[in-house]
Amino acid sequence: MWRGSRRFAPLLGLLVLVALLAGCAASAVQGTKYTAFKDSTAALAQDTRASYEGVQNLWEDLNAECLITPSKRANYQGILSGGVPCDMINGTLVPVENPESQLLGVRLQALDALARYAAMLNILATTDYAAGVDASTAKLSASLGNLQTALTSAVPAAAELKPATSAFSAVVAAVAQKYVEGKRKEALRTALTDTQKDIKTLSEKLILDNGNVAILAQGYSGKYVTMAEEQRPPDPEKRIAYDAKILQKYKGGRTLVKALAALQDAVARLPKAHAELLKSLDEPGTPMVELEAYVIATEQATAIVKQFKSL
Amino acid sequence: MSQSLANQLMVLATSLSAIASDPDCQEQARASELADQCRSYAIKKALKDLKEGEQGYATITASLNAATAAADQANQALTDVAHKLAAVAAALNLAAQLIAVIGGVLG
Repeated sequence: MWRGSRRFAPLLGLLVLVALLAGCAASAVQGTKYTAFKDSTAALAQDTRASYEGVQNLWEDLNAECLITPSKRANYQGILSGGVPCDMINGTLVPVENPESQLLGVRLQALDALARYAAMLNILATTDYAAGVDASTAKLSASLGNLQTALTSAVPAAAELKPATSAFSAVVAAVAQKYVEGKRKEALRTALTDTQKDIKTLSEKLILDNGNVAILAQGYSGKYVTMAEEQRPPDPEKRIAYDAKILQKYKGGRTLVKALAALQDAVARLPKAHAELLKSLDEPGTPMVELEAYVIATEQATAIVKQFKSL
Repeated sequence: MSQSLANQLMVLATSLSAIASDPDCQEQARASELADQCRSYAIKKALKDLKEGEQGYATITASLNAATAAADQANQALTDVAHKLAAVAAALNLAAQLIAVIGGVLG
Protein backbone atom coordinates (compact mmCIF):
# COMPACT_ATOMS: atom_id res chain seq x y z
CA MET A 1 0.00 0.00 0.00
CA TRP A 2 1.28 3.49 -0.88
CA ARG A 3 1.29 5.39 2.35
CA GLY A 4 2.27 8.78 0.89
CA SER A 5 -1.23 9.63 -0.31
CA ARG A 6 -2.66 9.00 3.16
CA ARG A 7 -0.02 11.15 4.77
CA PHE A 8 -0.86 14.10 2.53
CA ALA A 9 -4.63 13.58 2.58
CA PRO A 10 -5.37 16.06 5.44
CA LEU A 11 -3.15 18.70 3.87
CA LEU A 12 -4.82 18.18 0.52
CA GLY A 13 -8.25 18.52 2.10
CA LEU A 14 -7.22 21.76 3.75
CA LEU A 15 -5.88 23.07 0.45
CA VAL A 16 -9.18 22.30 -1.27
CA LEU A 17 -11.11 24.08 1.47
CA VAL A 18 -8.86 27.17 1.38
CA ALA A 19 -9.01 27.33 -2.36
CA LEU A 20 -12.79 26.99 -2.47
CA LEU A 21 -13.26 29.67 0.18
CA ALA A 22 -10.90 31.94 -1.69
CA GLY A 23 -12.82 31.28 -4.87
CA CYS A 24 -16.09 32.26 -3.19
CA ALA A 25 -14.61 35.49 -1.86
CA ALA A 26 -13.21 36.55 -5.24
CA SER A 27 -15.71 38.87 -6.86
CA ALA A 28 -15.78 38.73 -10.62
CA VAL A 29 -15.35 42.12 -12.27
CA GLN A 30 -18.58 43.26 -13.82
CA GLY A 31 -17.70 43.74 -17.44
CA THR A 32 -20.69 45.65 -18.83
CA LYS A 33 -19.67 48.95 -17.25
CA TYR A 34 -16.25 48.73 -18.89
CA THR A 35 -17.93 48.02 -22.22
CA ALA A 36 -20.13 51.09 -21.76
CA PHE A 37 -17.07 53.18 -20.87
CA LYS A 38 -15.20 51.87 -23.91
CA ASP A 39 -18.10 52.52 -26.31
CA SER A 40 -18.72 56.03 -25.02
CA THR A 41 -15.03 56.92 -25.12
CA ALA A 42 -14.72 55.64 -28.69
CA ALA A 43 -17.76 57.75 -29.62
CA LEU A 44 -16.23 60.79 -27.89
CA ALA A 45 -13.02 60.46 -29.94
CA GLN A 46 -14.92 59.85 -33.17
CA ASP A 47 -17.36 62.74 -32.69
CA THR A 48 -14.59 65.15 -31.72
CA ARG A 49 -12.75 64.19 -34.92
CA ALA A 50 -15.90 64.79 -36.99
CA SER A 51 -16.44 68.18 -35.33
CA TYR A 52 -12.86 69.31 -35.90
CA GLU A 53 -13.11 68.23 -39.52
CA GLY A 54 -16.35 70.21 -39.73
CA VAL A 55 -14.51 73.34 -38.57
CA GLN A 56 -11.80 72.79 -41.19
CA ASN A 57 -14.53 72.42 -43.83
CA LEU A 58 -16.12 75.69 -42.70
CA TRP A 59 -12.77 77.39 -43.23
CA GLU A 60 -12.53 75.86 -46.72
CA ASP A 61 -16.06 77.07 -47.54
CA LEU A 62 -15.18 80.54 -46.28
CA ASN A 63 -12.16 80.64 -48.59
CA ALA A 64 -14.22 79.46 -51.53
CA GLU A 65 -16.79 82.18 -50.84
CA CYS A 66 -14.00 84.72 -50.56
CA LEU A 67 -12.79 83.85 -54.05
CA ILE A 68 -16.15 84.70 -55.59
CA THR A 69 -16.76 87.84 -53.54
CA PRO A 70 -15.89 90.84 -55.75
CA SER A 71 -14.75 93.20 -52.96
CA LYS A 72 -12.16 90.72 -51.74
CA ARG A 73 -10.31 90.68 -55.07
CA ALA A 74 -8.90 87.27 -54.17
CA ASN A 75 -7.18 84.93 -56.60
CA TYR A 76 -6.34 81.24 -56.81
CA GLN A 77 -2.78 81.85 -55.63
CA GLY A 78 -4.28 82.28 -52.18
CA ILE A 79 -5.42 78.66 -52.19
CA LEU A 80 -1.93 77.49 -53.07
CA SER A 81 -0.33 79.61 -50.37
CA GLY A 82 -2.63 78.29 -47.65
CA GLY A 83 -5.34 80.88 -47.35
CA VAL A 84 -7.31 83.26 -49.53
CA PRO A 85 -6.85 86.87 -48.36
CA CYS A 86 -10.33 87.90 -47.27
CA ASP A 87 -9.95 89.21 -43.77
CA MET A 88 -9.43 92.93 -43.23
CA ILE A 89 -6.99 93.44 -40.36
CA ASN A 90 -5.64 96.96 -39.80
CA GLY A 91 -6.66 97.93 -43.31
CA THR A 92 -4.89 95.01 -44.98
CA LEU A 93 -6.48 91.94 -46.56
CA VAL A 94 -5.02 88.81 -45.03
CA PRO A 95 -6.12 85.15 -45.05
CA VAL A 96 -8.43 84.05 -42.26
CA GLU A 97 -6.30 81.97 -39.94
CA ASN A 98 -7.16 78.32 -39.60
CA PRO A 99 -6.34 75.64 -37.04
CA GLU A 100 -3.73 73.75 -39.08
CA SER A 101 -4.51 70.07 -38.91
CA GLN A 102 -1.48 69.48 -36.70
CA LEU A 103 -2.84 71.82 -34.04
CA LEU A 104 -6.07 69.87 -33.66
CA GLY A 105 -4.22 66.63 -34.37
CA VAL A 106 -2.49 66.55 -30.97
CA ARG A 107 -5.91 66.68 -29.30
CA LEU A 108 -7.20 63.86 -31.48
CA GLN A 109 -4.10 61.77 -30.79
CA ALA A 110 -4.73 62.08 -27.06
CA LEU A 111 -8.38 61.11 -27.54
CA ASP A 112 -7.38 58.13 -29.69
CA ALA A 113 -4.97 57.03 -26.97
CA LEU A 114 -7.82 57.37 -24.46
CA ALA A 115 -10.10 55.25 -26.66
CA ARG A 116 -7.42 52.54 -27.00
CA TYR A 117 -6.91 52.60 -23.23
CA ALA A 118 -10.66 52.19 -22.62
CA ALA A 119 -10.76 49.29 -25.09
CA MET A 120 -7.86 47.57 -23.29
CA LEU A 121 -9.57 48.06 -19.91
CA ASN A 122 -12.64 46.39 -21.40
CA ILE A 123 -10.60 43.41 -22.62
CA LEU A 124 -9.04 43.04 -19.17
CA ALA A 125 -12.39 43.29 -17.43
CA THR A 126 -14.46 41.08 -19.72
CA THR A 127 -12.13 38.30 -20.94
CA ASP A 128 -13.24 34.97 -19.50
CA TYR A 129 -9.81 33.84 -18.29
CA ALA A 130 -11.48 31.28 -16.00
CA ALA A 131 -12.83 29.43 -19.06
CA GLY A 132 -9.27 28.94 -20.30
CA VAL A 133 -8.22 27.81 -16.85
CA ASP A 134 -11.15 25.37 -16.66
CA ALA A 135 -10.32 23.87 -20.05
CA SER A 136 -6.65 23.54 -19.11
CA THR A 137 -7.50 22.02 -15.73
CA ALA A 138 -9.74 19.48 -17.47
CA LYS A 139 -6.74 18.55 -19.62
CA LEU A 140 -4.59 18.41 -16.51
CA SER A 141 -7.09 16.14 -14.79
CA ALA A 142 -7.19 13.82 -17.83
CA SER A 143 -3.39 13.79 -17.96
CA LEU A 144 -3.17 12.97 -14.27
CA GLY A 145 -5.66 10.15 -14.90
CA ASN A 146 -3.47 8.84 -17.73
CA LEU A 147 -0.42 9.10 -15.52
CA GLN A 148 -2.18 7.28 -12.74
CA THR A 149 -3.28 4.47 -15.12
CA ALA A 150 0.26 4.16 -16.47
CA LEU A 151 1.68 4.11 -12.95
CA THR A 152 -0.88 1.55 -11.77
CA SER A 153 0.10 -0.86 -14.53
CA ALA A 154 3.78 -0.42 -13.64
CA VAL A 155 3.42 -0.09 -9.87
CA PRO A 156 0.15 -1.64 -8.58
CA ALA A 157 0.33 0.34 -5.33
CA ALA A 158 -0.16 3.58 -7.33
CA ALA A 159 -3.90 2.85 -7.54
CA GLU A 160 -4.15 4.63 -4.22
CA LEU A 161 -3.09 7.85 -5.91
CA LYS A 162 -6.45 8.18 -7.65
CA PRO A 163 -8.28 10.32 -5.04
CA ALA A 164 -5.19 12.51 -4.67
CA THR A 165 -4.89 13.21 -8.38
CA SER A 166 -8.52 14.27 -8.76
CA ALA A 167 -8.31 16.47 -5.65
CA PHE A 168 -5.12 18.00 -6.99
CA SER A 169 -6.88 19.07 -10.21
CA ALA A 170 -9.67 20.69 -8.20
CA VAL A 171 -7.15 22.63 -6.13
CA VAL A 172 -5.26 23.74 -9.21
CA ALA A 173 -8.50 24.94 -10.82
CA ALA A 174 -9.61 26.85 -7.73
CA VAL A 175 -6.21 28.40 -7.07
CA ALA A 176 -5.75 29.36 -10.72
CA GLN A 177 -9.20 30.95 -10.86
CA LYS A 178 -8.52 32.88 -7.68
CA TYR A 179 -5.17 33.90 -9.11
CA VAL A 180 -6.61 35.24 -12.38
CA GLU A 181 -9.39 37.16 -10.61
CA GLY A 182 -6.89 38.68 -8.20
CA LYS A 183 -4.49 39.58 -10.99
CA ARG A 184 -7.31 41.01 -13.10
CA LYS A 185 -8.41 43.30 -10.29
CA GLU A 186 -4.84 44.29 -9.55
CA ALA A 187 -4.17 45.16 -13.21
CA LEU A 188 -7.38 47.17 -13.47
CA ARG A 189 -6.64 48.99 -10.23
CA THR A 190 -3.14 49.90 -11.38
CA ALA A 191 -4.37 51.19 -14.74
CA LEU A 192 -7.29 53.15 -13.28
CA THR A 193 -5.19 54.68 -10.50
CA ASP A 194 -2.21 55.57 -12.70
CA THR A 195 -4.28 57.34 -15.36
CA GLN A 196 -6.86 59.18 -13.22
CA LYS A 197 -4.79 62.36 -12.92
CA ASP A 198 -3.99 62.49 -16.64
CA ILE A 199 -7.61 61.87 -17.55
CA LYS A 200 -8.66 64.77 -15.34
CA THR A 201 -6.06 67.04 -16.97
CA LEU A 202 -7.12 65.88 -20.43
CA SER A 203 -10.74 66.66 -19.59
CA GLU A 204 -9.89 70.16 -18.33
CA LYS A 205 -7.78 70.93 -21.40
CA LEU A 206 -10.37 69.64 -23.85
CA ILE A 207 -13.16 71.65 -22.23
CA LEU A 208 -11.17 74.85 -22.85
CA ASP A 209 -10.03 73.80 -26.32
CA ASN A 210 -13.44 72.73 -27.55
CA GLY A 211 -14.69 76.14 -26.43
CA ASN A 212 -12.03 77.75 -28.63
CA VAL A 213 -12.81 75.44 -31.56
CA ALA A 214 -16.47 76.46 -31.17
CA ILE A 215 -15.37 80.13 -31.43
CA LEU A 216 -13.67 79.24 -34.73
CA ALA A 217 -16.85 77.57 -35.99
CA GLN A 218 -18.91 80.59 -35.00
CA GLY A 219 -16.38 83.00 -36.50
CA TYR A 220 -16.04 81.18 -39.81
CA SER A 221 -19.77 80.72 -40.33
CA GLY A 222 -20.46 84.36 -39.32
CA LYS A 223 -17.87 85.63 -41.78
CA TYR A 224 -19.26 83.34 -44.46
CA VAL A 225 -22.74 84.79 -44.07
CA THR A 226 -21.45 88.38 -44.02
CA MET A 227 -19.49 87.75 -47.21
CA ALA A 228 -22.38 85.98 -48.90
CA GLU A 229 -24.61 88.99 -48.29
CA GLU A 230 -22.54 91.01 -50.74
CA GLN A 231 -23.57 88.71 -53.56
CA ARG A 232 -27.17 88.20 -52.62
CA PRO A 233 -29.14 88.28 -55.92
CA PRO A 234 -31.53 91.21 -56.23
CA ASP A 235 -33.97 89.03 -58.16
CA PRO A 236 -36.39 87.53 -55.58
CA GLU A 237 -36.70 84.30 -57.60
CA LYS A 238 -32.95 83.67 -57.61
CA ARG A 239 -32.67 84.88 -54.05
CA ILE A 240 -34.75 81.98 -52.68
CA ALA A 241 -32.29 79.32 -53.82
CA TYR A 242 -29.27 81.45 -52.88
CA ASP A 243 -30.56 82.15 -49.35
CA ALA A 244 -31.38 78.48 -48.85
CA LYS A 245 -27.78 77.55 -49.70
CA ILE A 246 -26.28 80.18 -47.39
CA LEU A 247 -28.64 79.39 -44.54
CA GLN A 248 -27.77 75.72 -44.87
CA LYS A 249 -24.10 76.55 -44.31
CA TYR A 250 -24.97 78.85 -41.43
CA LYS A 251 -27.12 76.15 -39.87
CA GLY A 252 -24.18 73.75 -40.23
CA GLY A 253 -21.98 76.17 -38.30
CA ARG A 254 -24.55 76.59 -35.53
CA THR A 255 -25.06 72.83 -35.22
CA LEU A 256 -21.31 72.39 -35.03
CA VAL A 257 -21.16 74.88 -32.15
CA LYS A 258 -23.89 72.90 -30.38
CA ALA A 259 -22.02 69.64 -31.02
CA LEU A 260 -18.84 71.10 -29.53
CA ALA A 261 -20.77 72.27 -26.47
CA ALA A 262 -22.23 68.77 -26.07
CA LEU A 263 -18.73 67.29 -26.40
CA GLN A 264 -17.55 69.71 -23.71
CA ASP A 265 -20.28 68.39 -21.45
CA ALA A 266 -19.38 64.76 -22.18
CA VAL A 267 -15.67 65.30 -21.64
CA ALA A 268 -16.42 67.10 -18.35
CA ARG A 269 -18.07 63.92 -17.08
CA LEU A 270 -15.22 61.65 -18.14
CA PRO A 271 -12.97 61.88 -15.01
CA LYS A 272 -15.83 61.13 -12.60
CA ALA A 273 -16.97 58.15 -14.66
CA HIS A 274 -13.40 56.85 -14.72
CA ALA A 275 -13.03 57.34 -10.95
CA GLU A 276 -16.29 55.48 -10.42
CA LEU A 277 -14.88 52.44 -12.24
CA LEU A 278 -12.02 52.40 -9.72
CA LYS A 279 -14.40 52.76 -6.79
CA SER A 280 -16.60 49.93 -8.05
CA LEU A 281 -13.63 47.54 -8.05
CA ASP A 282 -13.83 47.35 -4.27
CA GLU A 283 -17.52 48.13 -4.00
CA PRO A 284 -19.16 46.12 -6.78
CA GLY A 285 -22.61 47.29 -5.72
CA THR A 286 -21.77 50.98 -6.34
CA PRO A 287 -24.52 52.60 -8.45
CA MET A 288 -22.78 53.76 -11.61
CA VAL A 289 -24.37 57.22 -11.62
CA GLU A 290 -21.38 59.09 -13.09
CA LEU A 291 -20.78 56.47 -15.75
CA GLU A 292 -24.42 56.63 -16.73
CA ALA A 293 -24.24 60.44 -16.98
CA TYR A 294 -21.13 60.12 -19.15
CA VAL A 295 -22.82 57.59 -21.44
CA ILE A 296 -25.92 59.81 -21.80
CA ALA A 297 -23.79 62.90 -22.48
CA THR A 298 -21.79 61.15 -25.22
CA GLU A 299 -25.02 59.84 -26.76
CA GLN A 300 -26.37 63.38 -26.88
CA ALA A 301 -23.17 64.63 -28.51
CA THR A 302 -23.32 61.80 -31.06
CA ALA A 303 -26.91 62.72 -31.92
CA ILE A 304 -25.95 66.36 -32.60
CA VAL A 305 -22.88 65.35 -34.62
CA LYS A 306 -25.10 63.05 -36.68
CA GLN A 307 -27.48 65.96 -37.22
CA PHE A 308 -24.55 68.11 -38.37
CA LYS A 309 -23.33 65.44 -40.77
CA SER A 310 -26.77 65.13 -42.33
CA LEU A 311 -26.85 68.84 -43.22
CA MET B 1 -15.93 80.34 -14.88
CA SER B 2 -15.22 83.69 -16.51
CA GLN B 3 -15.60 83.88 -20.25
CA SER B 4 -12.46 83.92 -22.35
CA LEU B 5 -11.51 87.01 -24.34
CA ALA B 6 -12.24 85.14 -27.59
CA ASN B 7 -15.70 84.33 -26.28
CA GLN B 8 -16.35 87.92 -25.22
CA LEU B 9 -15.30 89.15 -28.66
CA MET B 10 -17.69 86.69 -30.26
CA VAL B 11 -20.52 87.86 -28.00
CA LEU B 12 -19.72 91.44 -29.01
CA ALA B 13 -19.74 90.41 -32.68
CA THR B 14 -23.21 88.93 -32.23
CA SER B 15 -24.47 92.13 -30.57
CA LEU B 16 -23.00 94.26 -33.34
CA SER B 17 -24.59 91.98 -35.96
CA ALA B 18 -27.93 92.54 -34.25
CA ILE B 19 -27.39 96.32 -34.49
CA ALA B 20 -26.36 95.96 -38.14
CA SER B 21 -29.53 94.08 -38.93
CA ASP B 22 -31.74 96.85 -37.54
CA PRO B 23 -33.13 98.72 -40.59
CA ASP B 24 -33.55 101.92 -38.52
CA CYS B 25 -29.91 101.99 -37.58
CA GLN B 26 -27.95 104.84 -39.16
CA GLU B 27 -24.66 103.02 -38.80
CA GLN B 28 -25.62 99.63 -40.23
CA ALA B 29 -22.54 99.34 -42.41
CA ARG B 30 -20.20 100.43 -39.61
CA ALA B 31 -21.78 97.96 -37.15
CA SER B 32 -21.44 95.14 -39.69
CA GLU B 33 -17.80 96.01 -40.29
CA LEU B 34 -17.06 96.11 -36.56
CA ALA B 35 -18.87 92.79 -36.05
CA ASP B 36 -16.65 91.24 -38.71
CA GLN B 37 -13.54 92.66 -37.08
CA CYS B 38 -14.63 91.28 -33.72
CA ARG B 39 -14.97 87.87 -35.38
CA SER B 40 -11.48 88.17 -36.87
CA TYR B 41 -9.96 88.98 -33.48
CA ALA B 42 -11.99 86.27 -31.76
CA ILE B 43 -10.64 83.73 -34.29
CA LYS B 44 -7.11 85.04 -33.78
CA LYS B 45 -7.38 84.80 -30.00
CA ALA B 46 -9.01 81.35 -30.08
CA LEU B 47 -6.19 80.05 -32.29
CA LYS B 48 -3.58 81.64 -30.03
CA ASP B 49 -5.17 79.92 -27.01
CA LEU B 50 -5.26 76.62 -28.88
CA LYS B 51 -1.57 76.93 -29.73
CA GLU B 52 -0.72 77.72 -26.11
CA GLY B 53 -2.86 74.85 -24.89
CA GLU B 54 -1.01 72.38 -27.09
CA GLN B 55 1.57 71.73 -24.37
CA GLY B 56 0.81 68.78 -22.18
CA TYR B 57 -1.10 66.69 -24.70
CA ALA B 58 1.99 64.70 -25.70
CA THR B 59 2.62 63.79 -22.05
CA ILE B 60 -0.99 62.70 -21.57
CA THR B 61 -0.90 60.63 -24.77
CA ALA B 62 2.35 58.95 -23.70
CA SER B 63 0.95 58.20 -20.24
CA LEU B 64 -2.25 56.68 -21.67
CA ASN B 65 -0.23 54.62 -24.15
CA ALA B 66 1.96 53.33 -21.31
CA ALA B 67 -1.12 52.36 -19.26
CA THR B 68 -2.57 50.56 -22.29
CA ALA B 69 0.68 48.66 -22.83
CA ALA B 70 0.80 47.65 -19.15
CA ALA B 71 -2.83 46.48 -19.26
CA ASP B 72 -2.07 44.52 -22.43
CA GLN B 73 0.85 42.86 -20.67
CA ALA B 74 -1.39 41.92 -17.73
CA ASN B 75 -3.90 40.49 -20.20
CA GLN B 76 -1.17 38.36 -21.79
CA ALA B 77 -0.01 37.17 -18.37
CA LEU B 78 -3.54 36.15 -17.43
CA THR B 79 -4.00 34.27 -20.69
CA ASP B 80 -0.67 32.56 -20.03
CA VAL B 81 -1.98 31.00 -16.80
CA ALA B 82 -4.23 28.70 -18.83
CA HIS B 83 -1.43 28.05 -21.29
CA LYS B 84 0.91 27.07 -18.48
CA LEU B 85 -1.65 24.65 -17.04
CA ALA B 86 -2.11 23.14 -20.49
CA ALA B 87 1.69 22.76 -20.76
CA VAL B 88 1.79 20.91 -17.43
CA ALA B 89 -0.99 18.64 -18.71
CA ALA B 90 1.00 17.90 -21.88
CA ALA B 91 4.11 17.15 -19.80
CA LEU B 92 2.13 14.78 -17.60
CA ASN B 93 0.79 12.99 -20.67
CA LEU B 94 4.32 12.55 -21.94
CA ALA B 95 5.34 11.18 -18.54
CA ALA B 96 2.38 8.75 -18.66
CA GLN B 97 3.51 7.50 -22.07
CA LEU B 98 7.07 7.07 -20.82
CA ILE B 99 5.91 5.16 -17.76
CA ALA B 100 3.78 2.90 -19.96
CA VAL B 101 6.79 2.18 -22.16
CA ILE B 102 9.05 1.58 -19.15
CA GLY B 103 6.38 -0.63 -17.59
CA GLY B 104 6.16 -2.64 -20.83
CA VAL B 105 9.94 -3.05 -21.00
CA LEU B 106 10.27 -4.07 -17.37
CA GLY B 107 7.31 -6.40 -17.81
